[in-house]
Amino acid sequence: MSVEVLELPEKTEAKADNLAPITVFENEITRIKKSAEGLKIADINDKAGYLKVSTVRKEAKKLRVEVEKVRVGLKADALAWGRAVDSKAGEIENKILEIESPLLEMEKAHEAEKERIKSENERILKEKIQKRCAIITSLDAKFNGVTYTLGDATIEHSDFEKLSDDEFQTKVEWFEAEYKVILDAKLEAERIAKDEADKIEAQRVANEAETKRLSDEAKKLEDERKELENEKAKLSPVVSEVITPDIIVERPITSTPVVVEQVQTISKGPGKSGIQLAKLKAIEISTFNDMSAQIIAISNGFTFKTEDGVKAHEEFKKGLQILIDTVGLKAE
Amino acid sequence: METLLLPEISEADKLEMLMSELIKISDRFEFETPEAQKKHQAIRSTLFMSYYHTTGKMPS
Repeated sequence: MSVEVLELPEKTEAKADNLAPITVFENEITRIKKSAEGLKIADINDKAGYLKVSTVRKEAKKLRVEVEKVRVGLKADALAWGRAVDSKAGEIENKILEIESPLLEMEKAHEAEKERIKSENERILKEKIQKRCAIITSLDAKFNGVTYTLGDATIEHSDFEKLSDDEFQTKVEWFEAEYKVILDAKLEAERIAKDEADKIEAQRVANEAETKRLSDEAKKLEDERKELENEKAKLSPVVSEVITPDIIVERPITSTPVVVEQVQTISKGPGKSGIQLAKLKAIEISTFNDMSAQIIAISNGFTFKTEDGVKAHEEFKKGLQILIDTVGLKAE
Repeated sequence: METLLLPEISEADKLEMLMSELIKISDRFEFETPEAQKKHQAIRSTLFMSYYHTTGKMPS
């Protein structure tokens, strides 16, 4: 590498004699200072005082202007030197930059690529975690802030990043198995509930049909009762024809009219002979039999439909028959 | 299920009607001889007791 040698000026220190062109004015400053001491303008009419002040001021100004000129003159070389140094240094820096800049660009490109890859990897990882999380939560797993749980299956949130694909797949299959068990139980419960609802509905329909049937039966029984009332009304004239002691009605079936008359005839007497008593007894046997026959006929004329009614009626008729057989009047 | 009581009530009324008719029949007969009267009364008592057991009350 060649190095251009600059012609450097001789090193000079800021010695007092180098600044003589300026410091020489200090003598003048002393003189003008002395001139200015005590100067006053008494009043607006003090023309002499004003003239003296003005003259000394103008000298001071002139001196200042001279100092400025000397200053500019003394610095001219230094300024030119500074400009030369800056110019040369700039040239050299540019040449260095021609080397450095591409290298810097390469470094920056490298860093940018590293950053891009890092961001890409982070994005891929985040997507993987999100997808894995979505798979587990889609199976109705519950999350307590650290762990996802479904039945016996568990996985921690940190596992979404740590586990390999195969390990995660094993976990997913575990969760799917637990999910299937729960789903099967839920479907079975729904099926049972539906069956129960169907049964209740069928029972309701059956109850409605039974209610209607009973209602129809009740109406039929009511019709039968009315028919029975009519039959009873027909039977009542037969019963009402049974003779009381005061009523005589010709009735071919019973001998009651005769019985009554004969009873009254017989009872009118002061006493009864054996023959009369025998006759009376015969008549009373006939009357008693007649009464018994009517009782049996009326009892048989009633009908019952229910099992309890039929049973009660049969027992009553049986008891009645026994009673009549036991108690009935018999000829000696 | 609604339970209809009509059939039972109707047959209970029937029994009561039957008892009443039988008692009315027995009321229309009278006998002179003590034996006939005694047997008549036995039948009437039985009918009365049947009415009572069937209806829970004595016939009016």
